[in-house]
Amino acid sequence: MQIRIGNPQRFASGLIFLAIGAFGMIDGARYRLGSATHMGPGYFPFVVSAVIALLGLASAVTSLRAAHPKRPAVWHIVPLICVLAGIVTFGLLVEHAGLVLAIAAVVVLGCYQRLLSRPWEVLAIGIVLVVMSVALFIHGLGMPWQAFPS
Amino acid sequence: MNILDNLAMGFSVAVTPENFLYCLAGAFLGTLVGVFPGLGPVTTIAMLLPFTFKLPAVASLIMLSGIYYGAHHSGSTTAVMLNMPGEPTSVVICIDGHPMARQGRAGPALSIAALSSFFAGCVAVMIIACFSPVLASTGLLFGPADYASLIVMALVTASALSAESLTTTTAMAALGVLLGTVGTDVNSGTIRFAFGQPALADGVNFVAAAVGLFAFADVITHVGTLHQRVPLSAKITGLLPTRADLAASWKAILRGTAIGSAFGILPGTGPLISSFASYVMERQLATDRTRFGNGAIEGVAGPEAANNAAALTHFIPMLTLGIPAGAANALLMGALIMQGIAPGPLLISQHANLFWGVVASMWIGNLMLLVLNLPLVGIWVRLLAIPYRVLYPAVLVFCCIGVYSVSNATFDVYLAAGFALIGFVFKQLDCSPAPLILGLVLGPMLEENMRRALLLSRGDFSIFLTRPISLSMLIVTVALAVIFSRSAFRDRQARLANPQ
Repeated sequence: MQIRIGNPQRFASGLIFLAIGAFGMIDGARYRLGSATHMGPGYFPFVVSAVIALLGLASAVTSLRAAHPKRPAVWHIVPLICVLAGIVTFGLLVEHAGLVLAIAAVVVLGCYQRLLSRPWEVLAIGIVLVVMSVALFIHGLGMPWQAFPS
Repeated sequence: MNILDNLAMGFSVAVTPENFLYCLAGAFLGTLVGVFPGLGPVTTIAMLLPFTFKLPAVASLIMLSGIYYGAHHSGSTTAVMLNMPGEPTSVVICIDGHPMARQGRAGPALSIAALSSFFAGCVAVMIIACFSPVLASTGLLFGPADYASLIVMALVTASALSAESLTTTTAMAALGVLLGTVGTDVNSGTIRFAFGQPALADGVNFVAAAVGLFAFADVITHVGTLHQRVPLSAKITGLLPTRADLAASWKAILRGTAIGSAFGILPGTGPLISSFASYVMERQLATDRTRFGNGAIEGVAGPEAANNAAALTHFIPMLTLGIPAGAANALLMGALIMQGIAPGPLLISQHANLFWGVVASMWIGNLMLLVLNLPLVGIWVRLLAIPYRVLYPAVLVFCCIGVYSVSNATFDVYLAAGFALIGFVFKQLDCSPAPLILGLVLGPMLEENMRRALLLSRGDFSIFLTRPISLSMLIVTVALAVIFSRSAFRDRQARLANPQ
């Protein structure tokens, strides 16, 4: 017989909570637990992790018989990867390559889906944001950042 | 000193040219950013938060409060014109506001919203001035056990009042509490859950978490659904409400203000419930209920008044007890803590300048909102025509710069990216990130108070049940959790959100 899960989204989140709680309890075991009177650094995280694990378990079990969610999740993986890559590239570039290149990276990666179809629009957005940011943050607020690679 | 003296002192702080300017800038920026579709109050605050840290504490909180109520109010402009709620609180405004706009009455809908918001704001400022000192002196009676129970109550009720399942939202709040334990334990000096990252020794950077969970995760969700654009379906013709509109609205405004203020004072109720309660009340009291959902002006006036009254009176538990209501409020409290000011019963006496200055600035800010919203409404509506695909690269860039600027640390930028991933995954699984940020802010306080309570009781857990204040908090927590997890409230909320 096939097992049907009533609410797959809640089932998945329940498992994630269970995993996080279990990780917190196992990894947190490195810290001294202490007693209730003299709580060690590990006491509170252990209790909270246990609560998370229990709630996750309860959530996963009840989800089996729960009603179907109204809208199933649609996973847009490409925007996720591109936007995250843009943010991380900003972090990698901003210190040594300067604010201009860092912003350009965010705009190019963030606007991945219309680089080819609307290149001028992306270029315009990028130029406006670069000029605004350099003027506002480096010249206006005097942040100690460099604009260009040194 | 009586209240009038205090308010006079507050106004003397708030009208210094510098603070006045920050108040205006906050209200303006909050309105400007909040009006864009897809940018709700929480996202707006998260995005603008880093840029206020360089200011002195008073100016910073004045500006942040301006952003807070500005964004809260301008969300209703988006709701009326586009039928697009930026936040759950403006869902209610959509129900009757958008039909009004389609009937060509967008102008009256927006001006009634601005007027009721202003009226509720004036009343709320007076309530804050009168009740905060009272609540602060009550707060002084609280022992550590009472505080721990109060925090648990705030976390559970804020979870219970959101639209999702109680177990998942409570688990999100607990996850926030766990993330709050990352970093150096204040009592033993042990560094917990730092994974070898020296930057984590000071704990999870609050700004990175807020920006990642709300602003970045929002952008990722929206970019994936870019093609579903909502056309601007209504035009503004006349701005002023008719005499009949005012006659129909004023009672709703009074009732909405009362409901919003009552809910606002209760710690942990969250912003959602008061506008829903006001809408339901107006519909129950109406002689002709079929008008609701088809452009009844009371359905805009009441909830908008309740929304603003609650948004402002939420400052009372946030400042005097250190218990924020909802995510937007938690962001303000996190900002205060980063400024080195601990909200709590002593705040009013220790930082009288800050407290009364902010209260006075709220009144000034609400007056400015009225000025910004009535004559300039045409400009805001024109901003709605800016497509999201032009807007979101700017959101991304400013958030990256903002997170980086807090301490010029690239680690914070990577951390924000990590939180964006967490926020996106949980959003896909129908778990709102709002309880998590609440848990993150309240977690360290919960641990400290639990530790002290158990030290006093020599490890006896019954201290949470034998202290009357603590016991009543826990009873309220359980009662609310039971009522809201199964009652008609949830169904009604779901029905209101999807009228079809």
